[in-house]
This record gives sequence, structure tokens and C-alpha cells, in this order.
Amino acid sequence: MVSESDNNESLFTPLQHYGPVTSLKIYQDTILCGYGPILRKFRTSDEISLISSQQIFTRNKIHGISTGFNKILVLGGRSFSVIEDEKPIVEKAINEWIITGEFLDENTLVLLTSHNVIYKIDLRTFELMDKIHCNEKSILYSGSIRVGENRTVVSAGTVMDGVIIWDLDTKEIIHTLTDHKGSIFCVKVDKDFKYIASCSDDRTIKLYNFQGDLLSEGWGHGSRIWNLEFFNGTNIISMGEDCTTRMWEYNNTDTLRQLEVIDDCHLGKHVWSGDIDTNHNIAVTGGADGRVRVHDLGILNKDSRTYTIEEIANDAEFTLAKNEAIKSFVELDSSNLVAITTTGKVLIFDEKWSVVVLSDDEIQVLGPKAILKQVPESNSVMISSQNGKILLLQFGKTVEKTWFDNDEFQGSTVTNLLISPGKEFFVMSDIPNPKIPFQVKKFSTDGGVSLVEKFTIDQPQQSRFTATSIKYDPVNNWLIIFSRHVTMMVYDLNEGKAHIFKKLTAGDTITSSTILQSQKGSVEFMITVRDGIYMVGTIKANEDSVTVEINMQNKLSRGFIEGGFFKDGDLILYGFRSTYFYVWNETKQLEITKELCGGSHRFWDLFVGENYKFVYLNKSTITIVRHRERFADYGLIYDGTHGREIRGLALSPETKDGSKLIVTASEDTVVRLGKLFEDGTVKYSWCMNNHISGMQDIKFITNEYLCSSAANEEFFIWKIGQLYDGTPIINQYASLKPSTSIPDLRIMDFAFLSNDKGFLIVTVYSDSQIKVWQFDQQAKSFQLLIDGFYTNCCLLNVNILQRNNKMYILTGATDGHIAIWRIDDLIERKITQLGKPIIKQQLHQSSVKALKVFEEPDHVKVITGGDDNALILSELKFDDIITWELKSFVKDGASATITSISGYGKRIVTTSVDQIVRLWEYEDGLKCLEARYTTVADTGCCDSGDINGCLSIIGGAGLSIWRH
Amino acid sequence: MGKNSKDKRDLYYRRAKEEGYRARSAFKLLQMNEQFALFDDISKVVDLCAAPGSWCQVLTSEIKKDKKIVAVDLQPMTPIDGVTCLQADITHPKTLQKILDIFDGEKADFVCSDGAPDVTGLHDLDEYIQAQLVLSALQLTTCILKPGGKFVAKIFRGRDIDLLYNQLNHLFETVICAKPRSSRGSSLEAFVVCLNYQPPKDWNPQLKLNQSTEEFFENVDIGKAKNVQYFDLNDDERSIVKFLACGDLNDGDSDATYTLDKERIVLPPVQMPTAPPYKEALEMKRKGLAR
Repeated sequence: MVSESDNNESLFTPLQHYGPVTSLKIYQDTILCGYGPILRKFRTSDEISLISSQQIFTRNKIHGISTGFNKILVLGGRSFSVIEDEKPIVEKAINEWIITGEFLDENTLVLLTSHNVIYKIDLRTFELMDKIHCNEKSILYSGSIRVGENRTVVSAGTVMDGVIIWDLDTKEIIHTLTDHKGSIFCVKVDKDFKYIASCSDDRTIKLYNFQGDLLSEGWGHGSRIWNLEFFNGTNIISMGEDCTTRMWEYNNTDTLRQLEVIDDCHLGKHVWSGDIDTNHNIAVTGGADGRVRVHDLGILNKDSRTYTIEEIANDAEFTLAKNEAIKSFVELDSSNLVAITTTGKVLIFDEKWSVVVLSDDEIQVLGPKAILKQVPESNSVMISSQNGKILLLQFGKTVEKTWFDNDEFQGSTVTNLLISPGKEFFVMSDIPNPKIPFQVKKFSTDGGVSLVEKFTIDQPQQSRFTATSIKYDPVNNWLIIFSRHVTMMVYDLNEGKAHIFKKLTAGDTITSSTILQSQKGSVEFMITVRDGIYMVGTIKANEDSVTVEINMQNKLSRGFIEGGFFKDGDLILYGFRSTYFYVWNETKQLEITKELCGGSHRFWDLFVGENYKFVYLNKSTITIVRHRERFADYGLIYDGTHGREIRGLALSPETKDGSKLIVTASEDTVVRLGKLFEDGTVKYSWCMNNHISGMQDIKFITNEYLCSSAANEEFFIWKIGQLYDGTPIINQYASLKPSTSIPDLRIMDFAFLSNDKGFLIVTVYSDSQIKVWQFDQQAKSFQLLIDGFYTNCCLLNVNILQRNNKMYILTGATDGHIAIWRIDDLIERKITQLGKPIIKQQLHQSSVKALKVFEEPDHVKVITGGDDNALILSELKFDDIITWELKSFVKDGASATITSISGYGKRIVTTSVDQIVRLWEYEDGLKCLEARYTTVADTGCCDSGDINGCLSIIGGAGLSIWRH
Repeated sequence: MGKNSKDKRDLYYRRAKEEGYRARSAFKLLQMNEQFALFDDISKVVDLCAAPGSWCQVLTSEIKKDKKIVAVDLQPMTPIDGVTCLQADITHPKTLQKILDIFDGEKADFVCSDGAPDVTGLHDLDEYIQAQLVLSALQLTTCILKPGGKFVAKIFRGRDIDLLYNQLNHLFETVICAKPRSSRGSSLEAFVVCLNYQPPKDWNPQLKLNQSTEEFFENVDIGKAKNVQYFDLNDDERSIVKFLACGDLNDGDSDATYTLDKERIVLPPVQMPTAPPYKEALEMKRKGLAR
């Protein structure tokens, strides 16, 4: 075995790393970020940017950063380093875990160990000056040191025994605070030595005065709280396992008041680190997802105005009718609001409310059920009366009024007025009676709004077509009408012919639609569905038919989606989650803003320009909330991967434009698709939520298709496509139906082979089952060809081998054996029972964790890695009989479980839970060429591929990309 | 996960309930015993971090001769016939004295620990805390185990497990990494089985109040990293030990899913879990007092 080599001569070159952000500190104008063993520095200004990234420690992660005297102390594990300008960085170490450290003065450093002992070190010589303890050496999870003018106080958060506050100079214990239950994960003393705050396993924050009296408690975190910090006196910011960051205020009561909650602050689980700085008015957080986010403390005082109806009447100088209230509103192009009251008064708001004068007759015609809508690109609104008369109001220096008539609706009433965007726009009056056609008018905005033509469209003869959104496509001259029940109609204006597409998916109302790209005979569109679904599809027309294809469909687990659009290449979605309105960036996976408005049962709208303006009614008030995005990329200053351990990853076979597609699947069932670039950067575009249980594996079948498997017998085939702008998209193409109504088997692995009908697929299960399927690509159906059991132990691996026109399957299992069956004859003779294996050979003591096959002309090389640390090369020969021969056995192929093997060229890469990645040659027996430590813990999967040379991507609690 | 699906997912969970064990971990000790004959010729046993007590259950039933079993845990434990339960801190000198008193001043033949902290998710920290727990168990062990005795402790196999292997190698003739089949293959859990305790000559290990594990092992060389001059980074001594999968292949696979009889009665667990530290926080959420 090869021991770890020096960084200089390594065959591995680390390119990029994404993983848990273990510490953050704002110092002067810099954000310092402990990113595994790497220290990243960002400049703090409104254009926050990465200044530098430097690996400080060889192995240890940076768990703490302290600053002072123009020096930076980084520490983690038993390592520490003091960084000063111009001086080389040297990794130092003590003999035990360091909890925290501070500079006492220019030349003195103090370190707190996990046994509650302080090391006092002379920074000029790095000599130990003193070891100080308070006679209480409980093991610590956390701690902090507050250095003051006259005193230094150590706060120790123990694993079992509460908080110990002690004086460094007197070595006396000041307080032992035992109010918390469970381990203490953070404890801090404020800068004036007036307060102590701590948090723990019990999910509370406790605020004490420095005399040790418990003043107040903060309840709200849904799981363990990892970190807290004082700001603005007694305010506290906290972050934890529940992925929230919370800000609290002490208002002299026994309960801390929650000022703000940032939900889904990071992906998956854990906000590990954070800091706050009131000079820059920012907070910064880091998560297990490897992301670093900056938050504007401006969220604590939102730009929000609420007007009561009385204030509005007073402002606009009109007399309120009994129970009069705002009924609805729209925004003009000038970004002024136009509102209509329940008595038909029309108001305009331009920093001041005023009445748009309508005659009594006009108000009479519009009636109490008038519908107000915005007219595109003309600074106008339309108001439809219940019986279809439409009043156009064009706002210029004066208000110009124009009336348009509709046909009589035989007593039926207009329930909605839909207007398409664009310079040429359509106005459609929806009538619930399906026998009465939709009344449609085409307008032009050239030189003021003018009516071009009027016509009707017969309603689909079904009672459930309720139009919710219309779009006009000028390229094909199509009017596209979206409805409830995820149904849509494409109305060809050339031929006057309607094409209806019912129930594109199970779901409720289409809440918004966007035309992404349109070409002759092909329109790409996106819709959002209230239930939380968004989908991208293409309407295709040829001489015979019009069809709709869904290219991508995903479900958000955040609540209801009321709308969505693309902005600067990002998909933005908005809607309601319980009593909140949210705006969510789906591409970047973060919440842009939210408003506690009471829920969706009210009139509201979101107006998007450069900023976001959310306006809503609440009883008799109207509230206008503006959100200005202070930072580029929504404050996401460093992007990451998954918030939980990555369990499977794969690179696309082909390299295109200097990148490969990458898919990663994590423990929290999320599948992400992105691109891996030559420099190791991963840029994700989608986060798919189709799986609902523990992921097992994900692999590409071809460049266009991939498969993934999980518990609950989930097995999906995915199809890769492309969005109009070239962004790769992924869609669930087919799924295997579980064998029972309550599936509890895990599909541990799968193998596949392209054939003329589609794919031959083998799935192996946690109950030792093996199933061979024919996937029919035309019918998108699976046909079970062969079924059988191996033993009753859990299968872990499967491969398909093709030798001499025969087909075999090769499995690996938890019993340490590999086994081989022949299947081509079974398929040919339509025998559905798998039977006994031809070969069953023990290779490992226990689980065959990794299995890699190389098909050579005259034999098959099988390389296996086990839970028993062994790496084994064996050869299979397929002559008249199959023979197995051991070629190479490396007992200590790792110091703990080998978890994956990936191959490229004549070399393989292995990963193991000892966090050493090894590069091997296997041609003439296994030979380890290189072994290098990775900071990715729980190292569980890898893949290799060529992007101008070989890259390997290593997954676990994070993702590292290395070149070799 | 419902009780029924947990039964299917986990053969040993179900079997533990059927056989009256307080936890499925009982089978891990049984399988290690099958492999290493741990219980042959022993009578005085210390079970550290013993709650809820499944290892004690195994020890009382499997050790046939005049046995003396002491169980130590910070948590209270439901009594077991033939086991002396001490609710005590394993690092405290008084605990050591109490055990010695129970053994009439004689030393133990076997010390075991199945203890593990709640993991945080920071793998390096979790591994460190687990190693600290093993070292805490080991320091008590060095004070109470007779030369030639055996020590078994739970470990997490991770980036620094070879440090711990190396340290144990300094004190025992044989150290093996054992993985019982009842321990899930998907888990990093394993056990160190340390045979033939051979303390360095002239070493008189002493538990003292307020002494860290580092200080305890300071005057004996077990290959632990030391503070070197100017705190320069020094290499750690690491070694790999033999791996042995324990338990018969036909014993059942903790990773496999088993088909269950539909008419089967789902048994309740033998012992209900104890109240977690966040019990009150859960109640506050439920009442809507915290969001």
C-alpha cells in the first residue's frame, strides 16, 4: 500500500471542492469562510466577491476562525494556524481537539481544548506559556473566549454538564449553568460582559445576565441549534439543524421575541455556521450544502406600507359608502396602482390616492361585480362589467375612456376577463355556460389601444374548462388558452380550429403560463400548476396534427405555486405556504422574499420589475411591500451541492462544449442535474423531487437517458433534454410499478443494455430478488422477463455481461459473494424463473460494496471492494465452462470500507470511508499508484470521465473534483 | 417508519423483540462471541454505557460460571437479575472504586462498551467524540482489567480510525475490527475486539478527578500525538488491523428486507425509548407556542 503522498508530487490535482461550511467570520471588510480545510475570503461590499481560496490544513476542516490585531486564527481538529499578511502560512497542532481560540494581545494566543483546558501560546516563538484550567475538565462540544480590557472569560459548552463560565486569570468558575437539557452546542458572552447566551440539544436559546440569572428563552428551532451570536446589544442570531436562521430580541420578558425567520436558509439539513455585522448590515450563513449566503439585515425593517380604506378615502377625498372596501387592483406600466372598490369607484395610487372620475352612469354599467385587468404596453386598464361591456381607461396626462360592447350572453355573466401580453393583445371574456362561446377581441397598441377584430371561440364541450390564462403566439398565430385541471387549448387563428389537451398531468389549476420560444410549428412554453407543479412543454404542429409534449415536470414541496417566470436565466416561482406568500428562485434554490399576509384567501398580486412589489388586501386595508434585491445572485456568494450526503453520482458519456452533464442524488431523495466543467466547477440547473425515499444509485444509460433507484421500489428512467436557451433539462420518462401497494424493498442497483425495443434492465433488491425487464420505448412499458432470488441476503451490485453471443448477469451481495447467471437462453425460451447461479464465489468476508467490470477480448476483469477493506482483482473466462481465477488480492486496500470504484483508461479510482482516494493500475495485478486524503467525509461514490484529460468526481458529505 | 415496516426492514429489530432483548444490539455481542469465544473462562465483567441493557442481558444468559457483572451508565437502567447497575460516570475514580469493591478488589476479565454519542452530522467531530468515548472506556479498563483480559468497544470507521487501532495495539496483543452481521453494512459502525491485555511494565494507571484522557495517557506511550516543540504539525501514528465479519452467513442479513406473515402480531419494543432533551420543545410546537 502507498501512504499519502505530499501535495507537490501527487498524481491527483484537486480542482474544486463543495462541502460543509464549518465556520464564518466577518472581519473588517472581509468575510472569512472555513470551507473544509480551505479558507475562502470574500470582500464585503454590495458587490461581494471571492478574493482568495487557500488550503490551510492538510486534513482538518476549519471549525473556527478568530481575528484581531490584523491577524487571523483558523483552527480545526487539533490544527491551528495564524495568518498574517506577507507571512507564509504554517499549520501548527496541539495534541487534542481545539474548540476555539482568541488573541489575548498582539503576541499572545489562547486556545481552548475539548477538555476545557486553555493553552496560552507566545506568538513570537510559538512556545507554550501556560496551560490553564478551572478544575473542571468535562468534555466540550463548544466554547468561546471573551477577551476584555481587564478580564478574559472562558465559556465552555459541555457534552453532558451544562455551561461552565470561568475566569482565565483567577481560574475560578464564575457560573455553572445547568438549565439546558442535553449537549451545549454554542455559548457566548456579549462584548460588554453583561449577558450570556447558549443553545443546545433541547432546541432552546437561553439568555442570562452575567450574574447567571436566566432572563429569557427562545423557542422556535425545530431541531438542534448549532450556533448563535449577539448583535445590537441583546439581539441574537441563531442557526441550526432545522435549516433556519433566526433573529431574536430580548424585550424584558421570559420569552425572546422572534424578529425574523429565514426558512430553508440552506438546502437539506444544517446551517452549520454564521456571523452578523451591523456595520455592513449583513448576516452570513454556511450550510452542509456547501453554500455561503449573505442576507441583508434590511429584512428586519421591510419597505412595507399599509393603507386603511378610511385613509384612502381621506387621501382621495371621497365619501365611503357603507362597507366599501378595495375589491381588486392592477399595476400600470408606470408602476402606479389602479384599484376598484366594491361600489365601483376607480382609484389611482401614485404616492397619493386619487379618484378616477367616472360618471354615475358608467359606474352603474360596470356594476358591483366589475372585473379590473391591466392592459399591456399602454399604461391602461380594462374593466369588464358582468354582462360583458368593457371600459378601457388609458392613463396619460388625462384619462381617456373608451367603451367596447360584447354580444349578449343570454343571461349568463362574465366571470373572468383574460388579457394576453404583447403589442398585439387579445382580450377574452370567460363565461361559465359552456354553450356560450368565448368572446375574443384583438387589439393593437400602435398609437394607442385600438380594436382590430372581434370573434368568438366555441367553448370546449366540457363543463370543466375554466380559462385561467391566455397567451398569443404571433409566429404561428395561435391563441393558447390555459384552464383548470391542467388542461389547455391551442386555437389556430388561421383556420379557426381548436386543439384541446386534457389533463397534461394530475393537478388543479394552471396558475400561470409563459411562452419561452416560438418557431414555425413549435412553441415551447412553461406553466405552473397550483398544486406545486411546474412544467415545460412544446406544442408541435405539422400538416396532420397538433401535439403537446411535456419536456420537464417537477414538483415543489414548498406549498402552492401561483405563478412563475424566468428572470436572468433563473426560474422564479411564487405562491403561498400556509400564511406566507413566498418568492422562490428554483434555479438557485433559495427564497428571495416572503410576506406574512395571512394566506391565499384574499386579493393579491405580485408585480415584477427590477424589484418585487407584492400588494395584498386584508379586510379593509391594502398593503404594498417592496423587495429590493441588494446583492448580485441573491446573496449566494458561493454555490454548493446537496444539503445531505451524496449517495450516487454520474457523468454523461459525452463531453460537449467543454463540459459533461452531471447528476447527483442525495440522501434526502433529491436528484440534481448540472454541468461539470473542465476546471471542476459544477453548475446545477435543476433539483428534482420525484423520488420520495432513500436513493441508492443513479447512472447514465446513454447521453439521453439515465436511471435511478431508491427504496420503496422506486426505479425511474429519466430523459435529458434542452431548454430553448441550451440549459439541460431532465424529466421522468418512465417508472417501474412497485410490486405491492406498500412497497418496502430497496432497489439496490441496476444494469442496462440498449436493444432494438428500448432497454434490457436488471434490477436487484434488498430481499435478494433479481428481476430482468424489457423496457419498450414506444409504449414506455416494462415487461418482466425473468424473476428469481439469489439467497435471502441483500444484493448490492449487478452487471450485465455479453460474452460469445451469450448474456450473463453478475451480482455482488452482502454475503461477500459474486454470482453469475446466464439469461439469454432463458429470455429466448421464455423461461421466467432465474434458477440457481452458474457460479457463486466468495471474495469478501462481508458486503461486496463496489464492483467494477472490464470486458476484455478473452476474459472479463472483475474488481471488487469490500466492507472488509480488501480490493480484489479476479478474471472470468467464458469458454465451454465459466472459470473464475483470483489475480490480485490486496487485504488492506483501505483502512476502512471501500465504497466505490470508477474506471478510466487502464486505471481505477477507489473511495473508502477512511477518506483516502486511491489510484490503481490493474493490468498486471492491482498496484496502488497514489493515495490522497479527501475532505469529503462519508465518502461513498465516484465517477470518472474525460474533459480534456481525466477527471474524477468524489461524492459523500460534499463533492470534490480531482484531475489525474 | 411504522412499526411493521421497521420489522420488515430489520430482521434483528424484530428478533430482539421476540427474544425479549431490550435492543437489537444484543445480537452484535452474541455474534462477536461466536467468533471470538469472548465469554469462555470469564466471570467478572464490566459493561460500560450499558443502558438500555441488552448487552447485560446477553452477558447474564451466556456466561455460565460464577459471574459478577457490573453495568455502568449515566442514564438510569431497568434492573436485570444478576447484574449490579451503577448510575455513574465512567471517568470518575469513585466509579472505579465501586466496581473494584463489587469484585472484592479483584480485576475484571472482560470490559465492553456499546456506547455512542448522538451524532451531529459533522463527521470529523462525531468520530472524535466517539474516539473520546472509547478512550474514556479504555482508561477505566486499564485500571480494572487484569493482564490477559479482553476489551470490546463500538467504533465508527472513518478517517482517523487507524489512529485508534494503533493506540489499542500498544495495549493489547491482538486488536481486530469486528463487524457482526447484525450491524448494518450501510453503517460506519464496527467494534474493536482487543484480546490479551498487556499493560506496559511499571505503568500504574490511575483515574483522577479532573484529568482528561490526554493527561491519563500522557505517561504511557500508546502512540498518541504529542505536543511537539513550537507546536509544529507532527504525523500521527496509524495502523490498520485485521477485519473480521462475525456471525454465520445464514444468521440473517441486517441489510436485507424480509417478507413477513400477514397475520403476524407486531410486538411492542421491550423497552420504550427515554425522553429526549427536546421533549419540551416538541410540546411547545404542538401547542403552537413556537414556530
